[in-house]
Amino acid sequence: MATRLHPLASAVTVDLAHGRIELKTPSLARAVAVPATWLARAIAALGDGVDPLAKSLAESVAKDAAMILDGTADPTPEEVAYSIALALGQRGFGTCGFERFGDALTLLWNFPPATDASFHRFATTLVAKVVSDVTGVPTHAAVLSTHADGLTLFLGADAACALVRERAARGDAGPQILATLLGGASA
Amino acid sequence: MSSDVIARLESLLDRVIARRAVARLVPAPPVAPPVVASSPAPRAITPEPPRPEARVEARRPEAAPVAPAPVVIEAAPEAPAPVVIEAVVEAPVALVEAAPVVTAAPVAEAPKPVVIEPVPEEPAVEAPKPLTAPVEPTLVSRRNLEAHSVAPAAPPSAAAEAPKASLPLPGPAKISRADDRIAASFAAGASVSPGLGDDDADHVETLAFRVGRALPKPGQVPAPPLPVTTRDEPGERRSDPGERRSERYTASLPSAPIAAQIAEPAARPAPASLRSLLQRSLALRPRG
Repeated sequence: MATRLHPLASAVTVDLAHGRIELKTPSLARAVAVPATWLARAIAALGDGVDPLAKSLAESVAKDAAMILDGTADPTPEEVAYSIALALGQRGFGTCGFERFGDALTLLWNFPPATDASFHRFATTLVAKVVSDVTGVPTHAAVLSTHADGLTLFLGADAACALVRERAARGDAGPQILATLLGGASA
Repeated sequence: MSSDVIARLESLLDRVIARRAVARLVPAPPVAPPVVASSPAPRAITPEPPRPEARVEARRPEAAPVAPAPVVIEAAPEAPAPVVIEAVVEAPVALVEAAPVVTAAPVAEAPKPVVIEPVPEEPAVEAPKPLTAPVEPTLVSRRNLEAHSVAPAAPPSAAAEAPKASLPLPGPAKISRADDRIAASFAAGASVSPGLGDDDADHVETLAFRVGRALPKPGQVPAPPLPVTTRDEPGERRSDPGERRSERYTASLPSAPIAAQIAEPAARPAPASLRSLLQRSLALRPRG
């Protein structure tokens, strides 16, 4: 994995004199800084039209992540986490990592632009698309739990994600939802 | 007018002309000596120290007969002279770089650039010799006063001691200050390559002070940390104790089915790739 060719320190150049933010990424040459709250409001205002936006961003993130992985055949969770986190971080979308509880695989999205419920659909669409594109395995995602500075998303089948969404909407805690899932798998 | 009167007038004219001619032939009165004594003294005492280029030019004829002239012309007609001059003017480091150029030609020993290094520090030794009378220090340049006071043949007059009182010698003090600064730079971590001389060492430590800290060594830039939090042991805490999510997550894992799952994967070898982990997660089906 050619991680050293993509140092995060030189990925963004802020030129305050000209009001420009240059990204040292192959897909984007220039960025515009927008407060995260504004972005969250715009995403919430999109409603059902948020999916194309999330998929478009996911394609860009997955493309950069694949470039960082540099053709690694079967990347480890650490390598994939690094590549996706670097691609997200270059866009100001925070970082991420994977956790596994039994057979349940989760993705921790640290410091996303928003964590409220109006952002969940955008988040699940984005994460599912990125992981699917990077690994080549079609995946669905659902928000398992929400914290002050991040989200925990479950990665699995569509039916399992529907259960997670239902239990999370009822206010169940993430571990209880996972216990339900894992108990069903073991039964 | 009679001829007698005319003759007298002519004689008077002759006398006047003769007196003026005598006055021109008489040497200058002794009023001039103080002017003469004061004017040549500064000329002799304060000669401008020759520039390095001039010294090189002056020494070149000495080295020229040593070098085999035809070989120089055949090998590198213009090369030796400008190389030596540039080395002297710019820096001693350039001397080291210029040396191979000179040695490449058969004229290797001719320029002898090492001899040229102390050129700016050499005092004009010939200057104090014409001093025969005490000279006012204001008329004497600082460099020559230093040379005059250091010279052993100089008379221990007031003129020789005056520079010590009014113009302190900068040499030893400057050297000690430079040594202190170099020592401080070494203490701060600045490194000087062994091939540099004292002047270069001073330059390097000046750069270090200008930067405000020790010069960084190559390879000291830390790599960005990996934002990876993948774990195989769900019951344990994550490596970073400051992660609130891991605390909250691990603290609320009380259910028995999860404990059973934890015990089971521990016996199995951990999956290596994310793809296999993802496929196992995709295999999960909700109960009922």
